[in-house]
Amino acid sequence: MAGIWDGTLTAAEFEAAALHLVEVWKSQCPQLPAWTWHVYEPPLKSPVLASSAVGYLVLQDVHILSEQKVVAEVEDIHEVDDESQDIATLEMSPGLPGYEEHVYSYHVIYNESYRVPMIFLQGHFLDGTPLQWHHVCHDLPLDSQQISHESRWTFLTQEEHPFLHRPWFALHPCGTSSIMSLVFASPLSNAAKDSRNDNRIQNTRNFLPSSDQVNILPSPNQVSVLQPPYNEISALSSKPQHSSRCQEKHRIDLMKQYILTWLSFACPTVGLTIPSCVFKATN
Amino acid sequence: MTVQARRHVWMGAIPLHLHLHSSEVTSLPAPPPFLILAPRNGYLPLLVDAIRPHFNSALPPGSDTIWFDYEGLPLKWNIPTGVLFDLLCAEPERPWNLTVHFRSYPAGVLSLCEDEAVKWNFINALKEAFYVMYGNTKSIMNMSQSDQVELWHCVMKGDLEGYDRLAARVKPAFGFGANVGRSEVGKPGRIPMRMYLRMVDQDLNDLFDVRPVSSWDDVVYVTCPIDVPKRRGTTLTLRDALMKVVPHLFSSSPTISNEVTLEAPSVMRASSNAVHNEFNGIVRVQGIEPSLDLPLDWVARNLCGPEHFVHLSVICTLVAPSLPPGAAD
Repeated sequence: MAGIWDGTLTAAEFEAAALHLVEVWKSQCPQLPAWTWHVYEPPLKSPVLASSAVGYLVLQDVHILSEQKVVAEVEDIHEVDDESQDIATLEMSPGLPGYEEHVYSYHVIYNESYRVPMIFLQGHFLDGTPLQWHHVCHDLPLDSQQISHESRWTFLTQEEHPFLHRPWFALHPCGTSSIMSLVFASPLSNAAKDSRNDNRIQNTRNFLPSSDQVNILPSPNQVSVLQPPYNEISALSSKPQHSSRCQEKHRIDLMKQYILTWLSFACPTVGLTIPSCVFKATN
Repeated sequence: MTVQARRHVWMGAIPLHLHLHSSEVTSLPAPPPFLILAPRNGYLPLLVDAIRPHFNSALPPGSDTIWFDYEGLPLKWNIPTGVLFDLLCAEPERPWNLTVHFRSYPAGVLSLCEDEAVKWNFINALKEAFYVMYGNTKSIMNMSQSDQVELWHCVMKGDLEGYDRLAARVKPAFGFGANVGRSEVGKPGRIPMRMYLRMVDQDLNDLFDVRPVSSWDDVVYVTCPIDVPKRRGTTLTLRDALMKVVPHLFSSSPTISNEVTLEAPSVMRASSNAVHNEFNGIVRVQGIEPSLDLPLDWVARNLCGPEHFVHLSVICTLVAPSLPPGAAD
């Protein structure tokens, strides 16, 4: 295909990428809470509408220790070492003064309008009482908290869950495709050999958009760490030596990485860790 | 003629007959019901300032958050009022009998409606419609804060001229001047559409006694942007959009107006111009049941909601349509 890739993906590509993520996650970090693929069960007696997405990704029962004092240590709770993320250490929270345990679920759902994945989240206290906007906001990493307060209605929003038809919180998707078209570059697919990858994950935690634009764009000094605006998807069309079938296969393989790549940004924004081993598994 | 259509749409309103939920009546006698005209292209919570004074003296102590139910179903305020009416009132009821509440907000079913939630829901939806039409949200993002606020006020007041004036200043223009289906970059745009589908267990010609929707789980609603074909010379119709999103509601039996021989089903499928696949449902847009042959971009420009989405309310039935004997399947 000619032209610059705009960072979006189709519903079919979303499903392929989601299933790929589930597989990689299961094989690389089976000790962590698992992402699973849920097929949408339409309401009784009604066939699914013919339009695209038939399912979504689910990560359930993630326990977060919520700092109840407004102190900078909040971020430390989320900086868990990749190799030894130990659920057991979180269970000491009932006795821990100044902390509350919140339980979250995360859904990754395809957005038909923006043609990108979107992360939905919902949390509750241990007694089942749902968390409200300010609780959820408080549990986000500091950078994201700041953005949420500056862009009260356009960053962390309450939305209709497209499948469950209930209000859930969500990260607004309008900046996603710009980042994906900038970032989805060849080093990511050579992650096994590329140690810069870990730096990229670290750097993405520090970006801050300008306050009146909620596009989650990396700041200029982060762009230099990433590849310049070139991405392998667009470049495929300018490789005359490959047959178009080979190109198509290559493109399909690359697009399978889409959600993993996207999660490397989305997870830090909501305070979820994503271990680098899932990137090393890709070829 | 088109200007009239659009103006008509904007002036559309639903008369509401509101009574306060019995659990919130603390005065004797109970307050009488309240009648109010709700703009179709508006949102129910915006009516709070007009409604609350009427019921104020009856309310128990506490803070108010207004919400409405129809036959027990809490009404999702982020859906324009007219769409709710077209979908939930199978047989249009005038006035529309609703129960108003000021307490016990059902936060599990309805998004919180505090502060500027309604305005931002509108602006985010408008941004989304723009992305669907043009592939980016630049023009909305570049609108000044004061223009955005003024646009919102036009929606609140139902001021079409004001709305179109502001919309024309934006590049590319939306509202009446919208070039729906052609994006800036030359990529074909898409038509922003939301569809709400409801199944009833009654013949569609007799909806008088149909059971009301008791849960939002029984309604399928999706955002389904429609691709505009790249080929010039093909006009996308409302029927085409429906075929894309709800093909299962079309039957391939011949319509009454066509005399098609039943020995050649392949001919039927090939020449869709000659044979209309019959649509087994009722489609409502802005309170009308349009001809399915209307060009979709005309529908998008004239019958869209305030956020530029086309909202289609579709009612279909579980009762199988009776087919002529010997029809091909």
